Order: sequence, then C-alpha cells, then structure tokens
Amino acid sequence: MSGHVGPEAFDLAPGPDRRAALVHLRDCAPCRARLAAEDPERLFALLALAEPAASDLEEVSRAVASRLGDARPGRIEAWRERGLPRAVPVAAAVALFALLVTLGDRGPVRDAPSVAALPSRADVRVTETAGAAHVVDLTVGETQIVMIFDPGLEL
Amino acid sequence: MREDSGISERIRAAAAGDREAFGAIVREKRAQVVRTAFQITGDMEDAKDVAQGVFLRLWKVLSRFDPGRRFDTWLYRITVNAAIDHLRQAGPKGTIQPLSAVPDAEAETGPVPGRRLDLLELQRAFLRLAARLGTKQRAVFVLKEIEGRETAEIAESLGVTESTVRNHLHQARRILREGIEREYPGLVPPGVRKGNGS
Repeated sequence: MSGHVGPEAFDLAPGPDRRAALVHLRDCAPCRARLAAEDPERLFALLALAEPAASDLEEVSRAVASRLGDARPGRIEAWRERGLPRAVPVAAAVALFALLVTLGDRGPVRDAPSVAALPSRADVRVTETAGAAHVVDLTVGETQIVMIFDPGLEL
Repeated sequence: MREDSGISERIRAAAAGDREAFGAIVREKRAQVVRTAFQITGDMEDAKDVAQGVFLRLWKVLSRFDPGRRFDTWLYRITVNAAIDHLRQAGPKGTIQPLSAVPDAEAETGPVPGRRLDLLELQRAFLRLAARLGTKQRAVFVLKEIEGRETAEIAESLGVTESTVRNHLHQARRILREGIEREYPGLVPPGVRKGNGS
C-alpha cells in the first residue's frame, strides 16, 4: 500500500485489502493519529492482525482429531442435538414413579395390590420402530401410559 | 457473498463422514475461531477449549448446514455462543496474554513513517477495558470492529436484530472510548488528540 488510509479502512470487508490497510495503520503513526483523534476505540480493529500461536492452533487440531473418536457426523447424542435436554427421559421416569406412588396411595392400604400381585397387573412393552423412535407402553391396572421417545421430533 | 466452492465441497464431504475434509476445514478456520473466542473470553486456554468444543459440535451438526447460507456466519454463531457460555460459566480470568503479532515480513508494505503501534499494548488495553462490556456488547464489538463483519451478518450470527447490533456496538464503543481516553491516552499519538485542534 503506497498512500495513506482514511477511516474507511475500518469498514473494509475481511480480505487482503483490509489487512493491508490495517498493517499500514499499525505502522503509520500520522494515519493512526488522525483516525484515533475521532474514534480511538476503532484502533482495536488492529487486533485483527494478531494471530494465535501456531502451536496453539496445532493443539486445537490434535485435540479435535483425538476427541472425534469413531463417531460419524450427526450421530452423536441425537437427543441433545435435537434440542431435547438430557433431563427429558429423567423427567419422564420421575413422573412415572410419582404416578405409581400416587396409584399405590389410593384407597385403604388393605385394597392396594400386594407386591407379589403387581407384576401380573403391569404390562410394559417397548417397541422400536424402523426409525429411531421408541414406544414405551406401560399398563398398570386400568391405567395405560404410552411414551414415545423420538429424537427426530422437533419440539 | 457466495461461499467459495472449495469450502462448500469440503463441507459436503465432511458431512458425509470424510475426516480428511473435516481436518482441512479445521485447519482453515481454526485461527478465526480461536481469535474470536480469545477476544471474547480474554484467555487463551479458554479460547482453545471453546475452539475444540466448536469443532466437535460442528462435526455433529455439519449435515444440517444449509448450503444457501454463509458458512462463516454459521461458524461465528457457534463460536460466539460457545464463548459467551464459557464466559458466563467460568467468568473472566483477568489474565492478560496477548496473541502473537503479525510477522514482520508481512508488515513491510512500503515506506511508512512513524512509530509502529505495539499490538501487545493494544491487546492488553482491550482485554482490560472489554471486561467492562456486557457479553453481547463485547461479542458485537469483536465481530464488527476486529473481525470486520457486516451488521446483518452479526445480527444473524447472534440471533438479534440489526438495530440491536447497532445499539450494542454504540454502547461498546462509548465505553471503550472513555476507557482509552482516561486510562490509555498513550495509544493515541500526541498532538492530534481530540480537542488539540491539529
């Protein structure tokens, strides 16, 4: 770059021209002073010239490569990637437990099914469809709960 | 602005499981990601952690990238969100460890007069003063003033309106300007400071 630069240097799109203008500003005190007189905070644009050390960048590459493991893209933790927090299945389990406790508290204790009798009245079926969805069909006495776990669902 | 065909091709290949293509994307974008994360978190170790997380996430979600959008905008979005999350969880470290300066060989672009600005000094000043900004203000300032991105792109990256970006930028610039004038007057060469009339 042969001539001096004006404030438009700060507004150039990323690329060789912007870089050349910033390098000039870094080295040319009169230009820098002229621009800094109005907007000194814009001098921080020169930090675009500061680069991370090569060793730090290599460290990032190595760490990423080693942590990728054998996973294929898009197949890791489908629940989380679909925006479904890990808490969803936990919450479902807690709700189910609470329901069972509530059912157990109904009526006089003497009318509640005994522990030995309960398995014969509870029916749990887990169905895996062609996709990734799981259907859990839980029947306790006359109460039926159907839960569908589908990581493909956008909630 | 259209994506260059090279990166588009690598994205497609990486999304299909090509690790070599993904490695090339990492090499191509890692400086941008680490630099942005560093300017937001203010700590190189944090920036490296953020960058690792960004690329691991990228690997997971690459197949969902819409080729109609700009990859850099998407990558900035992931980077800034990760850096802000990291900053909120860990808090600012307060350590000042500047990035490396541009190699001298590149700086020789012609006969330019005067003293060269010390980027180390500039970086220290920024890290200290930027700690006074809100996380969004800081992210906007970094993307706009340091990374040189367009307002519309920043708005898309941060998921806010352009008007919000302009507002954050205005606030950030005001806070940083006041900080420079009060605490780092040496950054502005003497004789031409505001009010000196030269």
